[in-house]
Amino acid sequence: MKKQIKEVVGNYIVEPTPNAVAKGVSLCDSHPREIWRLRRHAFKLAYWPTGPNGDFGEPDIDYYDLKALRAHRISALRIDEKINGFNNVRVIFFRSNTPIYGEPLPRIWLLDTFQKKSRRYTPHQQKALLAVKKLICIRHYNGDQNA
Amino acid sequence: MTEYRYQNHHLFKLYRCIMSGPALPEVPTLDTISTRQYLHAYQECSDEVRELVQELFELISDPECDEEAKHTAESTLVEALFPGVTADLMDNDRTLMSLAETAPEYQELVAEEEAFRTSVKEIMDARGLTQGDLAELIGCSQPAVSNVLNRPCRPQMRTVKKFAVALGVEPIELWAEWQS
Repeated sequence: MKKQIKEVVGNYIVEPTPNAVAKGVSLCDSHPREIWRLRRHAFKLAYWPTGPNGDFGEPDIDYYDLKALRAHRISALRIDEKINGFNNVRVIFFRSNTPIYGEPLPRIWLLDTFQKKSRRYTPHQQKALLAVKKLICIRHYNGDQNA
Repeated sequence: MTEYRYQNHHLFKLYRCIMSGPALPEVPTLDTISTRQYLHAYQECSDEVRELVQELFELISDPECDEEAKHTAESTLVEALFPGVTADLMDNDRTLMSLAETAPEYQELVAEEEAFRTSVKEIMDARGLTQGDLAELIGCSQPAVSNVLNRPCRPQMRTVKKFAVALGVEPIELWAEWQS
């Protein structure tokens, strides 16, 4: 993180949660090359556009909102490259609007990462993802769930 | 529950492997933490965190909860109750990432990405194509092409394919490890 702040790129600071780190490492079976492959895709989210019309002009960030969690700004990044041999890897992220005090940019928080096996996100998955976001807001945004 | 320990075991194995530093502390899991530790941690929590912990417990104990959600809920529960442990974990993770530039595996990935950008630019130069021309062929905006060609990012494989189709070459000419 210190490094990212020092060399600010893009529009957001991308920060993984411990859950995302642990799940990512597990998915990659601890192979450094695969972990970095996954990271280099996920950290592209730093270039998430901030324009008023949300115009991407960007063919490379392939994402969708989780319908039931759209109001919470929780979305999924599709990764179109095999990660440790797995297809359909998703990185779930929460896009904050407010920079943390002292930081130049708002953060995109990586909540989770996994191989998507079914079409729908179960209500339990959605609750668990929302809980990760809630904890972030409690710890970093004084409990403001609209941060 | 064992899964969480398993995940962290992998993380630590990775740290040890790459950093070859001193032995790292064990991370508590829902299995290894005593009731007393739990109660103590819970008592120390703010009301907001307690409410969240209760939600997570309900989720984990729901027999209909799927494994993916359970893993996420369990690691978030540990994070909520024992923030110091996960803070150490994240510090180690940042240290690991700061070593990326010297790691050969990382450099190989960066080289793949650079080779893609160089190949596209060479083909464009050879054919006298501008970024605007290529954007038109792909069906996106010129800034989008510029972003792909100038940002130090890893392209999606479908992006590689789009560029290859637009340039009339095989994807493997742009991406050496291409797998159809």
